[in-house]
Amino acid sequence: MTEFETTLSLMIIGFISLIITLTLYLMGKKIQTKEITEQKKLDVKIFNFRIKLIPFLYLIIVLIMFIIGMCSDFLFNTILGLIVALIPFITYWIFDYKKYGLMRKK
Amino acid sequence: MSFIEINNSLEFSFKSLHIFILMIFIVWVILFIYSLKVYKLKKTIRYFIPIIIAGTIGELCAQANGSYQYPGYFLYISAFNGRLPVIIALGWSINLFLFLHMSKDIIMRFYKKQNLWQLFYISTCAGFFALCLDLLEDPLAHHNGWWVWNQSIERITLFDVPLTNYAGWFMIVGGMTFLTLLIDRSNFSENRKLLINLTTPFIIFILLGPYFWFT
Repeated sequence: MTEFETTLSLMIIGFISLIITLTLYLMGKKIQTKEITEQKKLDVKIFNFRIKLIPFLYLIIVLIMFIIGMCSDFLFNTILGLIVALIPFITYWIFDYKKYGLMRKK
Repeated sequence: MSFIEINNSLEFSFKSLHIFILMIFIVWVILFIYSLKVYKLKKTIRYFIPIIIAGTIGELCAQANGSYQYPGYFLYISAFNGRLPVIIALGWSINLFLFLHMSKDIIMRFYKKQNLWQLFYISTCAGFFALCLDLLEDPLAHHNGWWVWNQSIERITLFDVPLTNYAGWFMIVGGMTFLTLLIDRSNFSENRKLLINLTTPFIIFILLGPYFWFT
């Protein structure tokens, strides 16, 4: 296919998607939904700590990356990267703890 | 050239790349099962497939421009003169699922009103979290050759990785978080939500057409 044909076919796919999306959006009947409630979440227990599965998996990813970095002579950048990559986990940990702390006081 | 390519010249010596691939695969399976258990099938498809489509399109187009390449993987998606490992496409769905949930949990503690501003804060937070992970992952990947940036192209870099890449992570994760939550909170039936969510990522082609033509 020539460059022009490729560009043209991409745009045709894009326009068809746009038309389908708009049609689906405009023709759809809105239904009454239940109040948005907090979803049940699975916990993982490590020693005495109970932690939600999602931040736990994130922490595992970060730690595996860190270990790979340590083993591949990339120490300085890996330590810097680890500090930055732990920000989401620490933020989550602090606010999650705060939530459970408040619940305990009630 | 077929859409799916198998790398026949693969060396089976154990490298850090294999640990990385294995990690992504295991985490993806765990999250997929978790999502099926908590959200059921339709919502799980909405959380995983559109981001795979958007991530694949974005990465294939970046590769077609000669920015970087992925050597040494087993299974590739091949289109638009680019080759993307299937595992990397799956990795995008992990990013969305993790950061959407983490940022949603955090922002909803501060901002309880369920309006567009809340969606904006959640998606910005998700984009920022993705950026944090990328600052660890991308320099490490480049160092270990999991993906190789073309150094002959002049651009501003941070740890040998172009700044545009970090911006791309922020935009893809932030944008898809906003889109997913927006559709999530609409009052349409679950089937319609699924269809809208699947067709939306393809709209990006309208922007990419002129981009390809003029570059």
